Amino acid sequence: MSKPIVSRVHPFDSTWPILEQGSLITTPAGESVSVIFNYIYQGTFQQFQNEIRIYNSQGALVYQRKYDNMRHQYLLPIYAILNGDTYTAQIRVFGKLENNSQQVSDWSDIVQFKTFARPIFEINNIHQDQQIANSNFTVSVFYSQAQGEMLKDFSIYLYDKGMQLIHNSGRLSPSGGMLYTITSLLDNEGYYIKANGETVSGMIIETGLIRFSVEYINPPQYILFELTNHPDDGAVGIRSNIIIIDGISNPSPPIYIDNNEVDLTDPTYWVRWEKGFSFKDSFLMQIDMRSTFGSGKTFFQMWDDNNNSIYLQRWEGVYPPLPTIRNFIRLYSDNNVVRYVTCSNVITRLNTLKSRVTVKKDKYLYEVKYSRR
Amino acid sequence: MRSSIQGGDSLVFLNMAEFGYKGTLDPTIVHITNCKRIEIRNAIFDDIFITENLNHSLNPLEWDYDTLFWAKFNGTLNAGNVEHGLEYTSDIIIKRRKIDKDDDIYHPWIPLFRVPVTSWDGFSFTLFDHYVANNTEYEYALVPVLEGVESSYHVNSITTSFKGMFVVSKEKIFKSLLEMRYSDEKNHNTTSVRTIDRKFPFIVNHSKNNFYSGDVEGVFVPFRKETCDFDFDAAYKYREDLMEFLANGQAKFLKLEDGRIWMMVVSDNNPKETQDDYVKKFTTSFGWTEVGNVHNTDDYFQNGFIDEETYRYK
Repeated sequence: MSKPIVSRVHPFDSTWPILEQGSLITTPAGESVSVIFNYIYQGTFQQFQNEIRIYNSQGALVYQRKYDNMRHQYLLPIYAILNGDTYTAQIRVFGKLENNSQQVSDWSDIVQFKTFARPIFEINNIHQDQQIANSNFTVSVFYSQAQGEMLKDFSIYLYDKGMQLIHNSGRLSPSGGMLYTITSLLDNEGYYIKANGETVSGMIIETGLIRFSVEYINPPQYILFELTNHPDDGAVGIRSNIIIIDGISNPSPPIYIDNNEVDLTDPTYWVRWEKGFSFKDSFLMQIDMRSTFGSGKTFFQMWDDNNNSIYLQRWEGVYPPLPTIRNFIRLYSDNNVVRYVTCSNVITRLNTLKSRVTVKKDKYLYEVKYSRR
Repeated sequence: MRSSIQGGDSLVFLNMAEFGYKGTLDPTIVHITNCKRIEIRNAIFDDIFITENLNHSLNPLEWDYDTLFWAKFNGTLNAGNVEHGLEYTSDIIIKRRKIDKDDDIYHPWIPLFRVPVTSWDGFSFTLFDHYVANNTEYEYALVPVLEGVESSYHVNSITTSFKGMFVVSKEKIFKSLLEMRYSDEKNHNTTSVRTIDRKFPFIVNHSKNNFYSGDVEGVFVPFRKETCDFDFDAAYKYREDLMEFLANGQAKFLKLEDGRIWMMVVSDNNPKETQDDYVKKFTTSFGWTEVGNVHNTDDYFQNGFIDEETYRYK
């Protein structure tokens, strides 16, 4: 009597349901399937059932079951056997002759296979819909398996947004590091990437497709000089952008705190800048400081050539009906004839806490903000 | 005396109603512009940042083109865009090198200009590098020199773009946009030694000669941007200057629009003018021989394109 010829069974996770075109595959009894045993049978009868028996590495029979099935496949349900062992299996088929007498084939030759928990296999430095800012990107692949199954090789596949394969890394050995650099990514383009791998025992794994896009970032790198093309002269122009604004102080040198702050709390101390800059109609200013000075004292002042000035004072007091001491900043704009005043928002008392004053001067209009930092 | 005008109270003084409008006593906006002096006192200061960009998100990470003033108080009162110590610079050196990104080749730096720094007050410079090929990427470096020692390189890059053919020296530029023709050949000396007992000769190459030479012709006419036209009326004077220039025996750069560039001297075929079909249209032609490597600082110096002071910083 002829017997089924069973195809090689790759290692699989006995707890992991497999999909076909996105849908779960199920046994005739409706259970999720962990592996499909494919076989060829060229007997004298039409198959209507098949049966499998599975032995573990100790030779014990751990699973045997018959299904109604006319296809040359045996669908093993999940959790039928355990992970972490080497098994042997045989399959036989049942059929009927024309006279309805039941026939059964011989058991197939033994087929050996392994089960182990599905490895964690992922590209761990790109997430779905991530934006990458470079033309080159080094992909990092992570592999881990609970029973110590090693990864034999892996490959990286890059697709364009239309799912056309752009690049295949070929087989890469994990011993060289689980990194691979993809290059020539174009600005404002979308891509898909995935990794496939095979374990030492032959389990095929893949990460699934990850969609990402590329958008170059061009930071405004400030350079001390500018370059421009002069096509009429066939030349490159080089223009300096060096700005030195040196300050003077009393005392000289001033008292620095941790090379990060300057201490001008003594009423005779100051720092002044008198050359190398000029602010025109509009500017935005941020002053970071510690508010340790008394109320009503000017802490910042700027002048034009006509001795008109803008200056800032911190004010503090109790403003009924609230009983707490509150602080705000007053901005004065003084042309020695008329003095304009505007105030910032109010915040509760500061001791030595760090504060920030922001001044926006948009031609004639001033806006002052006061905050902690 | 009080009276009511427009629903509010006002003061009547000498038959005039004063402060009758609700906004009468609002402070008058005072416009102050062109501030050039700043003073701070009465606090502990960490950072003062001022920018022209009214939409700046603040918390700046680096100086940009809108920044006007940035005092960080990290051991210095400098509020400009240079790092601590640069104020003691004696010279600024501008260097340049060609980049071949496809082949990952970075040619050696060539020092082109030396700018002495006597005072930072109003310090600025504008220079022009004419010794560049077309459609080529170059990196430039601004290198401060402190007490004779180069400091860190501040690097910027550009891809050149120009049209036409240029013949360039340290002092002069001549350009042709019309009817340009060029030919070049690679010269390397070999000797063929034929012996009786061999079918093939020995080719002997004892010489290191390996240089380009060629011929060039073009119509050299000034181009007026204002009228966007060639000025053939002024062409004869332009060509006279060109002929003197070509015959002065000095090294020059010949640059073509396709990106080729040679350091050369006019030689072999003398500069010649030939009238074409139009009475004011002349074609100028000359032969040339390569005399140096456009990426080699020594050749720049030996052919007079950079001076000795600049050459020291190669």
